[in-house]
Amino acid sequence: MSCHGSASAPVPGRSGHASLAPLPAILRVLLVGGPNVGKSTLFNALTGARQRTTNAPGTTVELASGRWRTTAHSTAGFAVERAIVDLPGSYSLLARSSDEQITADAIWELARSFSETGLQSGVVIVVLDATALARSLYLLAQVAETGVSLVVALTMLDLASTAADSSTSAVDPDTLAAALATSLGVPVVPVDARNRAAGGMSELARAVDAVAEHPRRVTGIAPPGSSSYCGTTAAASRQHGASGSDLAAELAHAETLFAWVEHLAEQVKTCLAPEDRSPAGSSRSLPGSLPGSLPGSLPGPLPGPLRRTFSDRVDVVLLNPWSGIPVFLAVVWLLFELTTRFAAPLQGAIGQLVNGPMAAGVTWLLSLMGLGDNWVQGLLVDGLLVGVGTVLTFLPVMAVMFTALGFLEDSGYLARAAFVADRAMRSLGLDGRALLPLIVGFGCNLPALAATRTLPHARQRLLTGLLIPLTSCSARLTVYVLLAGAFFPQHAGTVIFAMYLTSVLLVLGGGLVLRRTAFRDVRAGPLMLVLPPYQRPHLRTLAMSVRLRAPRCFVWAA
Amino acid sequence: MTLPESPLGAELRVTGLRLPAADAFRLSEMGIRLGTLAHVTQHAAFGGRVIAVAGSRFALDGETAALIDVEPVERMG
Repeated sequence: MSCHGSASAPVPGRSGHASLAPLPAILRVLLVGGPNVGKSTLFNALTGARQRTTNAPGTTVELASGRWRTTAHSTAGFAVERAIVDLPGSYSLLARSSDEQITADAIWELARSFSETGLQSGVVIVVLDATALARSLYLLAQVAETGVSLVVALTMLDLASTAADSSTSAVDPDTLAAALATSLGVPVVPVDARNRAAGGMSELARAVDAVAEHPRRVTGIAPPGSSSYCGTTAAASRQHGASGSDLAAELAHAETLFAWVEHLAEQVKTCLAPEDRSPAGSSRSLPGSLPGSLPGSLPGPLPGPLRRTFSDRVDVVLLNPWSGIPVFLAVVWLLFELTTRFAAPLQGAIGQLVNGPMAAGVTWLLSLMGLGDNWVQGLLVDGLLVGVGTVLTFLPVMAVMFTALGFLEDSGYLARAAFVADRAMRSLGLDGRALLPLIVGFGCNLPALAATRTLPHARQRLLTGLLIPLTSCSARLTVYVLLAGAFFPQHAGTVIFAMYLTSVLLVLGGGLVLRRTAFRDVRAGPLMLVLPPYQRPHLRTLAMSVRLRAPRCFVWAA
Repeated sequence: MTLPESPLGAELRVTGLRLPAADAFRLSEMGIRLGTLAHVTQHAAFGGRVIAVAGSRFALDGETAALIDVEPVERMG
């Protein structure tokens, strides 16, 4: 077996290559991958601002979709327009939440469409995390089983060298991609969505278009309808928690996929054997990587003692039983301060601009037209203009909140915060991540509601969103001070403290009531969280996140 | 022994997953299966543990970690 084939250009006539499929006018592309594999960053890089967020039909699960346009042309010589959907992150197509169910359903729908109509209506891009190939390959195997055409995007290559806890480190990206492509039989494109210039976006577009025209199968994965196929069809329409026999059957089938992953890893390792090493001076070698060495993220025994990564050393402080909680509280305090204090001057400036010069200008114009000092001025200035101005003042709060949350998310700390706060939120059946928005709610409810977008599951987002109005935001403090001073002048401080305490008790009580009534399905499951490696937040990614999220929340506010 | 009883940094092999079947299945899907080699990289509050498996770091709460059986890996030389 040769390991030197192109990673991204499928070669017609190879094994696993199906016949030419008719193409639709707009090619549907589904972006699939596990949580924290860089999927949304890739989506943002592919679509830019040409995207919108909507709820999946009949659910509260949000889906980002957009147009992916490039100058690349299909091999038939015509430009292909692509509609791309960023599906919720999922470890498996055997869904355990409504978010994961959306992902599974979307893939199965695409597979059904192809099998029923013969029209190649879409392609799936499976995003593989180079730092965790074993886990990513399992999901890829499940996607491949559905029979859809797929392309692999290989991400996190810059982190692979520091994440591997083995005596070897990451491999040259192109060499690894070529080895994977050879073993999988489908195009594998290394991408760096944080750096579009070097990111492989055009290669990814070409690979998607090529696979759309020439559907290909993943080597070693039986397609639907074949005699050896015993895939996850039944599981596609339901969630875990079904009968024990179903679970046993799924586990038995999963074992075959695990075996496939192990076998594939061996093939890749063979491809990356010393005689196949790429030139040491490859321009795409990663810092500190050993070209041709075996990635520790592949499955299989990893000998020797633990080699601590940079993230491990940071976690010694941030996840320490004694320092982890104080650090978390300090981060929350900082978030609170940013949203309530840092944004305040900006809010004041907007308020003054609208109520001062803008209101005066409109009043002057109206008076010139003979409409001053009557109901028209009242409607336009005191009603419309001041109303819009009030809503506009929320924009800085949103921007500050999303910048801060984006920073925490992009840096890798948000997952740690969820781990540290998990115990506190468990009684409410919520993920540890829910504590951040709830605490921010004591500063301002609106950004706190916006912050629920960082929660992984739709039902958790809804439950947290229902609890946030029970938190006592800073605007209410003014009312507390007024009332406490008027009715309990001797004990105003104690009364205000009691009001905040009441708010906390309302959140806890409300949460317990909701969990026992409308949210019985939200359970405090075990915390099994993949911690992404720490990385320096990327300014462009942060700016894109704020630019896309803040306006939508602004519309909510309006 | 269980994960919380394991020393920091020791090389371990997973020998038992005594979680509910669906949770054990999900752990398997994530890459923590019988026979998997792991290292405990961090002790966290309330018995939580961070383990290293094939290049990834997994955070497990105390209750979950206590239901994962492991044995130390003896290596010659």
